[in-house]
Amino acid sequence: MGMMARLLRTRSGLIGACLLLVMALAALAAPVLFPGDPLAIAGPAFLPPLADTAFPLGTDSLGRDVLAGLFHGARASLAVGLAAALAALLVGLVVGTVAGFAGGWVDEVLMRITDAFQVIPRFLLALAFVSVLGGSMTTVVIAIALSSWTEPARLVRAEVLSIRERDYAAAARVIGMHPAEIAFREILPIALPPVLALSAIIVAAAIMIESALSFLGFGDPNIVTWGSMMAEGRNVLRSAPFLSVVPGIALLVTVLAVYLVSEGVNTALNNNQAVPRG
Amino acid sequence: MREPLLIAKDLCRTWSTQGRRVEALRHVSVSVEAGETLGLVGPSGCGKSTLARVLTRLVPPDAGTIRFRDADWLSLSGHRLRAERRFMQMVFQDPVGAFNPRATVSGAIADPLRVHELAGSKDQLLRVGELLERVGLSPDLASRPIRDLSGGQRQRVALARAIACQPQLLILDEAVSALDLAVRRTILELLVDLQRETGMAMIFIAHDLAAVKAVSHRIAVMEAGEIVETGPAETLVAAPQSVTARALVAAVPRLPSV
Amino acid sequence: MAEQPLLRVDHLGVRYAASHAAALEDVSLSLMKGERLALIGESGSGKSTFARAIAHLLPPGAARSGDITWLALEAPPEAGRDLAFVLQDPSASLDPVMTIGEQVAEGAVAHLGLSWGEAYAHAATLLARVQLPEPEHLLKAYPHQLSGGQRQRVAIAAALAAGPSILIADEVTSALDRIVEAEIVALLDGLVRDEAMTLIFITHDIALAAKLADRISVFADGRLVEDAPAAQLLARPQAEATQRLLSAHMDLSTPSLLREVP
Repeated sequence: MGMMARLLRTRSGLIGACLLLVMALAALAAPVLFPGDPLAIAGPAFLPPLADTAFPLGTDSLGRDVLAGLFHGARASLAVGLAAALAALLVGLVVGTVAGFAGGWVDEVLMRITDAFQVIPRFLLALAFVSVLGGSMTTVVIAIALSSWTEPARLVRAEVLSIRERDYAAAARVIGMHPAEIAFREILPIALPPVLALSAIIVAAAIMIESALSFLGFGDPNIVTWGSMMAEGRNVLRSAPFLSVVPGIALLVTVLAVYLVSEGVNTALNNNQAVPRG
Repeated sequence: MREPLLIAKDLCRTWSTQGRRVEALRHVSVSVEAGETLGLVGPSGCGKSTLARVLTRLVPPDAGTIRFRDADWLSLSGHRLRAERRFMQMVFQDPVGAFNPRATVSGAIADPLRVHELAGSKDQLLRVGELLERVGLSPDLASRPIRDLSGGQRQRVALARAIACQPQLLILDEAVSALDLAVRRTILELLVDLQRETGMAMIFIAHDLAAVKAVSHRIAVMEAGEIVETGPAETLVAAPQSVTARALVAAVPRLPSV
Repeated sequence: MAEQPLLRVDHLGVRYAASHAAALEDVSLSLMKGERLALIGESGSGKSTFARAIAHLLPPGAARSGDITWLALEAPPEAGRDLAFVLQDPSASLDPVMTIGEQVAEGAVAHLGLSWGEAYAHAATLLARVQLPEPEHLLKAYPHQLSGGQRQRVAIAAALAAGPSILIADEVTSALDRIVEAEIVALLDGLVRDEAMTLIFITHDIALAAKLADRISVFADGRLVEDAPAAQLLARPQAEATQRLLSAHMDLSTPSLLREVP
């Protein structure tokens, strides 16, 4: 895909993509490198990092392997982050396209609904959702999606509004194309690029919200996430800071990588110069 | 006597933006017989493009009626309207904006075939090739992205797309104005040729009276939202009555006699 | 004694950064002071590239070969000061967020050393010169409030602010309707005559070229294929490109393309 190639040619895109690749590989390799339950007790408690080669990053208050937790946590964070972002994007794309294309009262109604969701602070919305419905991977994904769909919706709507006025959209109408086909086949693909740039940020935000929810104890209690590791480490911050710092750094690097990719996407999108003619 | 293919009566359309009101169409009436070309000419801002958009129902008129193919055109909606649309097609001025930026030549030309179910997917490619040849382009261009084509080539593709569903009326909204004079002439010759072959009627909209006269049977002159003069092409140009028509005649640059 | 040309171009070649083909190849021509030269050709023939090259307005990354010598000037001409360059699309030369007065006065402030007050008065005079109504009101207006033809007149006024002696008009009427085009052409004709300017007029319309210019140079595929006084070129066109441009011309005496005329 031409877009991918252009992305990798930008410095930020390249670095970001590499970091994400490392994270993705870690997530995929987790059950292979660290078979068994990462929440099982593996060794003595509070082993500092590099003290024992069996536990390169040490163990936590219950003797669980920090490195195993890190790798398995990558799975949870990336999976939830990506799933939530995808859900948010899909909802946002549909709402934005319908609102922008239909106009009139449909647009009004959809925009008021969007306003309503947007008024509630993102994290509180997610928190409210999981606290009512309980914390599991599914509810966390839905909660984050609910809090993140409004931005892509607005962005898509703005794009659709401007594209709708172009001659080729008029040409599609004159040909006799069905409005749904015009909206989703002719207009939406052209409206997509700015939303793709935004999607990276949505993924980053989703990962952070997931970590925050786990940190507060609202995540899925049966899986390890970086948030839950940080929650555990909070109680022993003075004596064993590495238990909070290590997952924190992992989170930082992942979010940074996602932002770098988004930068790269933006640069790649804007680097289309036309050659002068005549 | 048969009813004309298109009869538009008393069309009115006003644009209001930020407190300013512009009467783009003021009681405009036009008619087009089957197989004839009506030239519509006037200075920029006279309302020609608005009329094109009202006739193709891209924009609703504030008042007035349109009869097309012996039926009330404005009352159609939904599926019936979309089906009838195949008989009235349009070519736009800007060869760049008239196509989806990601479209290929065959994708664009096949759209009307697909929408009106005029050819199965196997036949579509065949039809596209035929249409490309009809407009003077090589069928090899079918798989190329439209982005790669020149302005003149794009307008030919636009023509191919417009005639794909065999319309009875083709509206050309300044379709050659953005083209070089050399290219312009060949497209005009192609238009006349297509008309001879298919018998379709045309409304040729332009600000250049010379181009209009070359292809039109009758000419209507517009100024400030109104039709100020109509008549057979040769007569109107030879003896223009209205101020606008006279200004348009005077504005055509002539080669100094050598 | 032969008068020295104002501009001499020898074997000029131009290649744009992202392109395989040369935009201009081996173009040689000279221009006398006070002459009216038209450059004609189809789009892509190189005429606009030529105009930009001699005005030193090529985009960065464009490779240039050959010589461009402005003989009657001490230094290469600067757009605005010695050279007025007007483009096809006035939106490209007019800033949408500056008032018309500011944009027309700018040239006078920058190159004539006038104060802003003097420059605004000068701007009003120029706007009247290009036959725009109510120049004093226009000083405070913005480009989007004017029509295409009016914007083009403003662009011409702004280009003339510092009193340059050379005017390059690049397809300035191609985006305008015929009536406004005729008015702009008449305006340019008058301005060039009254100020004794040298004119380079670029167009794809051979009839317009013949109206304004003494001499016509024909470009095709990046090369200069014919260069002759206007009357001679029209009567005895040599190059194939010239003949094509002539046969593409249509006016009201051109017979209708319809087989039967009612």
